[in-house]
Amino acid sequence: MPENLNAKLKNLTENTYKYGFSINLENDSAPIGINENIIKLISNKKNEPLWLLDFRLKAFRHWKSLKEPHWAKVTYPNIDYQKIYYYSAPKNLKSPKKLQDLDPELLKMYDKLGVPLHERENLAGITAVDAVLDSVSVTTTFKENLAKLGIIFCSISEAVQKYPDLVKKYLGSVVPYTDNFFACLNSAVFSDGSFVYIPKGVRSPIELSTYFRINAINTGQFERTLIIADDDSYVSYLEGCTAPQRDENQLHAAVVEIVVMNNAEVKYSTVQNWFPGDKNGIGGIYNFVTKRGSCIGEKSKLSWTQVETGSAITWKYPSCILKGKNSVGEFFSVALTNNLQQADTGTKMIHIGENSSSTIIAKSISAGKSLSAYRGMVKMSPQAINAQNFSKCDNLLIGNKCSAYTIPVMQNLNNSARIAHEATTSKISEEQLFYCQQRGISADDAISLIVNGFCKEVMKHLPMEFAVEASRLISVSLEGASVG
Amino acid sequence: MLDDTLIVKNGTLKILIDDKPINRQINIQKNAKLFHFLIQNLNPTEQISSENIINLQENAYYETFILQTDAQKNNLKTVVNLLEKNSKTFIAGIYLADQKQKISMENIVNHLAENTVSEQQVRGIANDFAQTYFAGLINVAPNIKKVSGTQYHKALMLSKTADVKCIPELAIASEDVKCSHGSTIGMLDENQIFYMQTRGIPLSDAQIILTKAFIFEILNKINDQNVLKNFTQKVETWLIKNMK
Amino acid sequence: MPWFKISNLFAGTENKLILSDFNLQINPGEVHAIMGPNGTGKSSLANVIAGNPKYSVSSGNILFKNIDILPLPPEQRASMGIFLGFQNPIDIPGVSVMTFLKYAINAQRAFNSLEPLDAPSLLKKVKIRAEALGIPNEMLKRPLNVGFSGGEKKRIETLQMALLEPELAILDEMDSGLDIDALKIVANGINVLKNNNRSFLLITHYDRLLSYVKPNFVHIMVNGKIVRSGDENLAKSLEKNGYTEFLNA
Repeated sequence: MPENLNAKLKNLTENTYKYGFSINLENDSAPIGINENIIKLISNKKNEPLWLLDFRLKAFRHWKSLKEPHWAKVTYPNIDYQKIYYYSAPKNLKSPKKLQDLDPELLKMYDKLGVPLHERENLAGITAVDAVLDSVSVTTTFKENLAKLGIIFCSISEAVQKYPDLVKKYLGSVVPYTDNFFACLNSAVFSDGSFVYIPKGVRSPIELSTYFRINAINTGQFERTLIIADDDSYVSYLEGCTAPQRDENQLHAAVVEIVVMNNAEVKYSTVQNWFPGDKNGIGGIYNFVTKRGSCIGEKSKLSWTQVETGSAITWKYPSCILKGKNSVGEFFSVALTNNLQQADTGTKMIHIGENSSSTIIAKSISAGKSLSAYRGMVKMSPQAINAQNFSKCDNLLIGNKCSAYTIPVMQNLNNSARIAHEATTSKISEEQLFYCQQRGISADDAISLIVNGFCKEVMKHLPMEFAVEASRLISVSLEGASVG
Repeated sequence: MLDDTLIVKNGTLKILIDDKPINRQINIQKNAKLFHFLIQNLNPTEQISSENIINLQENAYYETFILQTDAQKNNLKTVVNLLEKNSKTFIAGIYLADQKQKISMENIVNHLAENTVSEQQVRGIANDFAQTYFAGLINVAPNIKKVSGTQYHKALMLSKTADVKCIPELAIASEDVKCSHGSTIGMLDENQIFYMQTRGIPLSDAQIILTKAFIFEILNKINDQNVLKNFTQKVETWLIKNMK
Repeated sequence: MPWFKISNLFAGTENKLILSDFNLQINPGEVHAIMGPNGTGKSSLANVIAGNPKYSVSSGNILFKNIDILPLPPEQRASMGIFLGFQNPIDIPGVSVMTFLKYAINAQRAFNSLEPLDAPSLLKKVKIRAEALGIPNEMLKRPLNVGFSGGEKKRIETLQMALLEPELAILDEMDSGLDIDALKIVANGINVLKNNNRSFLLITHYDRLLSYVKPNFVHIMVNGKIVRSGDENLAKSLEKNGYTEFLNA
């Protein structure tokens, strides 16, 4: 590398440290396994205040008393919690050194999805020696713009140092460590994640994306995100990307907490393509995410939009607790499974506030020998006067070997509240296929066209670029479905 | 635990009326039809649980009308197995709960052969501190062609303290399937009420008329006049008690 | 070598034989009409030429530009220049008319090694033809055929034909369900496309369409084969006398 470029690189990477995008290249790590000493070590290494260490320890002690849950429909192998590194596993040793060393299937995928070269390295876990010059400078400028508006967007670790009061006030307020087994574990050992604070009356001019936090993609298994939208604010947050996500760590237990205050709105969009691992599906990722938003303010609004494909077994039920009067919760989802994949997704809408309303539109597409399940829960508590919910779940089956499950649970404890639910199951009609083919469109292309049309209702809620990527992802994931 | 096995022979038609809970297994043979009416007359303190399993052969037809409204605790499970091709079933259910009753209705339809059709229409009303639970499953096995399955459940809540829960479930493993279900829990349509009021009908009358219509939408499908009379009497008694 | 020729074709669905020793030859620039009583196989003929998988061919062949098209999938036959205007066009929810047009046009261009049409050119092309067919702009944004009336669907079929510029356009009962004004518009759409290199196969019951689109040849189809061929006068006499003489033949 030419001398001046090297210097430029050094300069930039040092600047990134200054702005808090610390690329964790630590070579030492905590010993394997979990116990109070390791937790203290983690907290110490991160220079955390006492209250946070306390939070972690309380969670850990509670976790020890809990039993791991198992669901009926899907199985996953036993996890030995003592065989996991809870702090900075030496990634460099395990990850491939060059793009050419990668699984050729993965490279093919990058090609099809049009992922730019430098992004491929990042996504594949190849530690960047040739730094991503462009994106580093872009993120630097973009962070400056946000800072001018008072918007805080940084890692949780940095937020703990710089904005401890904010973090202390809201961490665990939406998902307490007592909530469930994995959230509890996460509360004890969470590594890092995003922290977002939008001040009163501010509309974020840019979509906040996890990609901008360069090392977000390499964040460990226990990611913790906290988003706070103060009165009258707005933010659109993007998570994930269409390129296949792979990680040596098979178990992911993340927690996302969102707090929405009076008249504020948060849009949280996820597009995720889980790497199927090898041909036998080994290496697939198990993902237990507790995502929950609390709409505490009057007229507060939270929308979850997600497009998920891939073989990961994902338990993810983004939920809304609609506490504020006139609060609104939305859930739009497309789950696509092909070959031998499994998806189990859904949502919970808990209505507490008067006049609160929620809308659920879930589309699932199963092809090949896959299985897709939607699990929903809508509950109207006794105080939810005049609350309303509408849910629509549609399943599209392609081929005769796949299956779909819809399990919506509705419970109403207030007679002025209304719950309405519809679900349909159908297939792509031969007439539709032939019509497209007669116009010159191949069978595979016809299926993507029709499937994208089927998902339109959901896709229109995604921010533009994400929607384009998601469409492409769906087409690529359906390859071979017409023959299947 | 099984109390009774009934076989409806090839090509015959049978009408069966049950006024007490019985655990039945019923086999409906080829080309046979069974019309089954369940109207349980029980004491208010009783706690009962019963289950009916119905197996249908080729071109068989099973139609049932269920009225669950008595007893302190009343659980009824109906499992219909469409075992052979061209079999069809229609399940109509009504549950009416008040005071501190706990009523649960569970309907399971298993489509195990091609060209099978199922339809479920359920209406429920809960008042006072009643707790009701409806679970409806349409299950389609793999490699089955031409299946049609529909399920509609509507529940009304008359009091702020009632608790209504429902889980309309779909488990589909075949492609050539047209399945849909719909479920609503809530109150009467205020547009309909308002419409009636603008035509001079007082609010409370409008509510009664609409609630009655809500249930009779199902009852009106009963062909047998005597049975219809019995069902109607029981429903009207409950409505009079609970709607004014 | 004949440009388009169906020879000794036997075809049907899994339950029955519909086309029975069917023969037909079409040269470039010709307008052929096929008429016949209901259930005689006219629509089936159109679908078999287009490659509808519901039908299977037991013997015979169809040559188009020296290639036997029977082994080819529908999209290839389309890209070679065959267009089928459907009798009952199906709807595709969530896919707008415009989006569908873009996909079809670019798919056929790709097959013929052409670059995809850029958005502004496409838009322009579509708008001009849509206007000529009386199709309002907002209809182009609606999902294809969802909630469209019979007449609207036929106009959209005609729009697709105008944009895809086929060499052989098979129109299956394009005139059914249309009022006079809609019929005139569709007929005009066809006439505007008539040229020495393009042929039309009009499948129709009534000779209404034929008074606006003059056929060079009229064939009468009964029980899966052509029993009489003539010119436009044959159609006129059918209108007067019906099909009886041909049914007993």
